[in-house]
Parts: sequence; structure tokens; C-alpha cells
Amino acid sequence: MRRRDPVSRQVSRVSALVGREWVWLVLVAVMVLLATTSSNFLTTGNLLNVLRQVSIVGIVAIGVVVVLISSNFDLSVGSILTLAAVVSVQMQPVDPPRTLLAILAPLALGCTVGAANGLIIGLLRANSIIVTVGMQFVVTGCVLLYVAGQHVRVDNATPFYFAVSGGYLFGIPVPVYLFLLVTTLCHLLMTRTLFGRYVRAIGGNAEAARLVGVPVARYVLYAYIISAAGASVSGIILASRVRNLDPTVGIGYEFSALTAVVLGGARLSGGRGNVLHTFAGVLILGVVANGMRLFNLPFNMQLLVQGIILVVAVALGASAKVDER
Amino acid sequence: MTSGLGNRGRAVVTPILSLVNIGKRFGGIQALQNVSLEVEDQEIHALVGENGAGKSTLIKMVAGNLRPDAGRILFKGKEISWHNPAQARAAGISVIYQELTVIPHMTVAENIFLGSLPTRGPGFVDWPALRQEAARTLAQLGLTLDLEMPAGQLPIGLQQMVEIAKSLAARADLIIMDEPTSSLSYHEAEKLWEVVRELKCRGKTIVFVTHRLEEVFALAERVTVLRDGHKVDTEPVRQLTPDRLVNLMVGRELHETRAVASGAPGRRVLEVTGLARRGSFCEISFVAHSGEIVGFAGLVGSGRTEVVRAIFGADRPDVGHVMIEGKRLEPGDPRRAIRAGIGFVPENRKEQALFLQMSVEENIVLPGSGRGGLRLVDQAAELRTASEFVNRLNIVAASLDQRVANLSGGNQQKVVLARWLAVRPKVLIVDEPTRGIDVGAKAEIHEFLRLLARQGTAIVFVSSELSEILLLSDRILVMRDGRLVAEAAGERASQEMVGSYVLGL
Repeated sequence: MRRRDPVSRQVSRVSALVGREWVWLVLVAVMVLLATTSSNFLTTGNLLNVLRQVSIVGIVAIGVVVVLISSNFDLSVGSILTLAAVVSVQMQPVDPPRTLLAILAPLALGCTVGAANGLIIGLLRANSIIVTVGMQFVVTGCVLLYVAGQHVRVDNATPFYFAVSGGYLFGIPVPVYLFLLVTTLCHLLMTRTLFGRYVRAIGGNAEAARLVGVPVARYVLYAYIISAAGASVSGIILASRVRNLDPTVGIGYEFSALTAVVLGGARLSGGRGNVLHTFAGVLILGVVANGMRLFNLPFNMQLLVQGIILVVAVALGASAKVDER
Repeated sequence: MTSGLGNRGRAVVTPILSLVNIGKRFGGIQALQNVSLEVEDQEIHALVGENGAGKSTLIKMVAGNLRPDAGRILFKGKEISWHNPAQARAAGISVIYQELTVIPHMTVAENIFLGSLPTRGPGFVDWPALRQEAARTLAQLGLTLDLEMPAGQLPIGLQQMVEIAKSLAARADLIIMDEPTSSLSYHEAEKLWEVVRELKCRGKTIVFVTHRLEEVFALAERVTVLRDGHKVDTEPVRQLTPDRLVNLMVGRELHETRAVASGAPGRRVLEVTGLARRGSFCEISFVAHSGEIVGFAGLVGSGRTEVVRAIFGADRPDVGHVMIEGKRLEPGDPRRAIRAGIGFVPENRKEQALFLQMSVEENIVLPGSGRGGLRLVDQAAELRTASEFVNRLNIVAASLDQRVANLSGGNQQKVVLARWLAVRPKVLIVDEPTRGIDVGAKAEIHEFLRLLARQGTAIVFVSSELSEILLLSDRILVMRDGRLVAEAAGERASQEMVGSYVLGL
């Protein structure tokens, strides 16, 4: 009596698949739309350009989704990105040892900030939104004091330092490799290791996780360090590209990243989220921004559109959750 | 059947609620099929059946939350077709769900008249009238409560009374209760029964869903049994025996008896000495042997849950210690407890045990040392473990990938048990093993706990159902007001004896 007939099972399987992977469908739809309306869109050069441009925010977003899966927010990533970029430039990578320093120092500092986030939120169970917003001010304040509010610049950087953002390997920009590498590593981490399972468990039900022996505080700490490391890598790429930095350059990255994450269907209350879907969310944002440029829409309109995308994605996610009941 | 004309001047008995050939499908699942049911005016009517039998679906239709695909619903003789719960409420139907809906920060009085606060002038709340009306409503139920107290601070039993007062205030004629006593102590439940009888005297009709058979016999006049979306029967309770009722519900004979005592007690596995936690319990000392089932009896709030949580380390005790096979356990650390061989099934499975978004498989394989986060998941081994325990515990799920959120309560509880069996604990602590679980699954869980004990695990469990304590325990420990007050061998204990210790008579 309560068995499902084969047809409806098939239908429900397909609809479940569509329900899970709709973010890719959206990406394809946007791309088809642009390809049919603009002859400049579907060219190798333009597509590589899109990929290169989304790499920075993409790497940030991958870190943010890991934290979000643990049911926490990281709104400090924009400031960590700034910190890493400024410190990287200040190391003046004009010779090989300094180049190494310009990569390691920002990573170390960024991860330290992430660890501070993770310790406060994991051990004290403080509200992650407030803590990371506060941390955003602390870090931004420190950076502004450090550079006295002035731009920082590096001339004559080493070719290697240039290559971090401007290099090509087999015709593909280096930041794209970095983005793909971070995405792959985090995807494997979240799906194939105990780490990923514990983080999902914490996000789904922290108390139950504690009672089955998951060291909750420790894994929350790790998640924040991963997120901070991502933001730091992005900061270094940005520094390598610009080399003349405004010390407020990272403002807003946390929300672009969060938009991509939400587009990727991650549950804001944690427990569920998918690194590959976030990757697709990043691509959607990039393609939309690219399309707006192709049609010569003003840059300032992008913020508006991104805001609309964020609100619509959250609203759709919320209505999907209502349906689940 | 009664004809249209009165019989010798007697009033015609028209049912207050009639369901005629109701059907409802969810996707490919036929939740209800051809169900007809009549509830008479001013009767107390029980609705029973295993999880998934269709009770909730039926209630939701009467409450206006769902619409039937087929059939008709008549309320007070008129056919109804409600689109939302507000319409049902306005017509005089009030539903009290298992998850109570009092607003915790509002006062008792405000909660009772929520949505219909008495006003004066242009929309100002008439506070004196509110208090007066609230007190009057509670008095009808034989209750006096602090009207100014935030409702969230009341014990759960009294919050339920506030819910009932709400239905009175809304002038409901038909009050539907979904498992009203599932989270109440025996004492509170008895109080609730009194109130329900009082409601009947005041002309109300009550339909309640329950898994507690004793409740059917204590309270209901008639009982309707649902099974697999069909109505099995409606019968006057007087004509039923408990065995017959179980038979109707499950569709097979189900007769649980006390297992033969497991023989000579094994070695001491768990030793608890002088355990205390301020405000919860003190001077708790006892021993559990391998192969033994130790049951903690007592009222809700007597400290049983707090004690077992402290043993496992979910909470840190102030003094005292716990030894596993002679080795002292670091207090307040569940991970060490797990490594030492303790498993723990907490009281509230949804809030404290399950990962509702995760699959059956992941829920089963989750407990671990918490170390080696970078180790790869061994998918083949986990699949083997999960499917082994799904089979052994007879867990009904579409697949191992099914989300636990979509399982019935009984199957969810089995998943939590399976999780611990997979790590082969020396001691298994189970707080309320079968709360809110239907009789069939209950018997299976009992059988499984016995089997586990026979294999050498020491089992410590807490239950608010005396019958469960008596049925399972080799040894019974009774707690009252945070202390151990009595100990009895399971086979010699009786309901009266344990009950009197529990209540301190």
C-alpha cells in the first residue's frame, strides 16, 4: 500500500537530482543567454578572463562555505584579505627571499586571525556574526594604523611575484589553477575525510556532535583557519596583481563570497553545503558581471545586481526549506 | 443507526465530527485510504496506531492544515472544506500539538488570550479584564497559576494546561490533542486526565492521539485504531483488553514478558561512587555488572537524566567518580567516556542525538575518536557496518542514503541505538529508550537491549514508564529529589512497590 510505483520513483529521483544540482542549470542558462545575445561572450579569451577575475573572490568563497557548513559565519574574510595583501606588498618582494616572505608572512598572519576567530567562537561559543564583524574592525583598524592610512606599493617585484596573478601555464592564468586547486582540495576534504563529516555534523547539531565524541571547538577552529587561509591566498593574488594598494581594498569581499555560497545552495543554518556548488555560484556571479560589462552597463550597477541575486537566492532557499516540511 | 426522528423523545445523537471515506496521497504514498470515523458529541475518543498509520494526517485535515483528496468531513452536521487552520479554529476546533506553542516570554494570562486579548478604547489591552478572564478560565480547569509568570518558566505539564486553557478561551467545542502526555511524568499525566474529564463535563468533545495504552484505558470512552492508512476498527474501550488493542494496532500477536534473569552476574563494569552535582543530585553510588540491565525509576525531575548525563560526561559532576572496569574516568568529557567504552542515548533524540540532515548511514557511523580528521573515510567498511545494523535492528528506511529526518520516531531511535552498537560498548546508557515510539518498535527495542545484555554489555536505562522499568530491569534503582532512595531486584519488584518509592509514600 505504501510502496511507490516505479514511474513516480523515477520522477522523484530526477527531480531530486535537479533539486540538488539546479545551480549548474542556472549557470548554463545564464551562459546560453549571454552566448545567444553577445558574440563576444563565448570566446576562449573572454571565458578565461571570467575565470581569472572570479578566482580571488572564489577562493574566499570556498573558505567561507566550509565555515558556514559548521553553522558559523565568517564576515572577517574581507579584512583578512586586505591584511594579507598589504602585508605582502610591505614585504617588498624585490628579491627571491623577500618574495618568499611576501607569500608566507601574509599567510601566517591571516591564519592567526582565523585562529583567533575560531578559538573565540569554538571555545566560548560566542555568536559568530558578531565576533567576525568585530574582528573585521580590529583587523582593518590594525592595517590602517600600520600603513598610516596611505596606499602601499611595490616597484620592481620579482617575476615570480608577478606570476602569482599574471602568469600563464598552458595558456591558463595561474590564479585559475589556484582557484581550482583550492576547490578540489576543499571538496575532497569535505566529502572524503572525517574532517568533512565532523564539520557537517557540528553544523547539523553541535550538541549531538559533542555527545558522539566530536571535539567541536577544535573543528570549528580548523574551519576558521581554512577560511582565513583562503582569504590570505586571495589577498596575495590581489597584491601581486595591483602592487599599489588602497588599504581598504578588501571591503565587500565577504558579501560577494557569501552571495556565491548562498547561490550554491548552502544552508545558512549549517549542516549542508557543497564546495562544488559554491564553485558554480562563483561562476554565476562572474558570468553575470562579465555579461554586464559586455553590454556596457555601468560598473556601479553590478553592486545592485549582486545585491538582488543575494536576496533572491536567500528567498528561494528559504522557500525550498518550507517545502521540505 | 439513529434515524432522523428522535427515539421516544430522546435527542438525536448526531456526531459532532464525521469523516466519510477520507483519502489522502503524498506523492507515491497513500497516507490514508477510505477512512470513515464518527466522533460523538461530548465523548473522549482515542486515536491509536503505529507510527505512520496516518493519525497525524487525519488530525491535520480536521485542523484545516491539509485537505483530503477524497471523502468528506462534517463538523456539527455541516460539510466543511477548510483552507487554513484559522477557519477551523473559528468554527470551534482547537488542536494541541505535541510541540507546545506557548510563547515563552509572554505571561500565562497573555498566552491564554493570545489573538483575542480583551481591549478597551481604541485597541488598548484591558489588563484587569485579561487577568480576570484568565483566572476564570483556569478555575474551570481547577487550576490556579501565577498569571504574571512568563509561560516558558512553567514546567512542561503546566504549559500544557495553558494550552488547554487557550482552547477554552477560544470557545472550542472539539479539542484535539496529539500525544498530550508523551513528555509528562506519570503524576502530571494523571493531572491532565483529570482536566480532560473536566472538559468533557463542560460539554467539550476530546479526541486524543496516544502511544500509551494505559492512557487509552484510563481516559477514553471509545478508541479508533488506524493501521497503514486504513481504519481497523472503532470500539468502546470497555469491551477491549490491552492485548486485543495491541493486536488491532500491530496486526499480529505481540506479547512481551519479562525475560528470564540472565543468571550469575558478570564482572563489575561500571562503578559510580559518591557522584554529585549541585542542584541536581547527590551521593549517587552504584555498580553495574556486565550482562546486567539496571533501570532508573523516578519522577521527571528527580535527577535521573542528570545522573546518567554526568556518568557519560555530558555534564561535569562536582564530586565523585566513575570507574570503567576498575579504571577511573576523567569527568566531564564524552570523548574519553566513549574511548573507555560507554555509549549514550540521550533523552531527546532530535535535539541531542540525531543529525537530521545527514543520511542513515552517516548517523550510524559517526561516533569515533574524533581524531585523524584528515583520514579518508573508508566507504566500503562504513557501508558494511551501516547495512549490518540496519538489518539487525530492522530499521525501515528507503535506503542507507535516506535522510534521518524522514524516518519515523521508532526508526530514528533505532538509528541512535545502532550507532552505539557499532562501537561495541561495555556500558550502554539509554535515557528513555522508547519515548513516543509505537508498541511494535518498542518491543523490538526492548528485545534488542536484552540481546545486548546477554552479549555482556551492562545497560543502564532511565524510563518514566513503570511498566517498562519492570519489564526490562534486572535491578531497579529508584531516585527521588536527587537521591537514590531504593534498590530492588527486578523479578521481585511490583508496580505498587516501585511506585510508592517513586512517590515517597
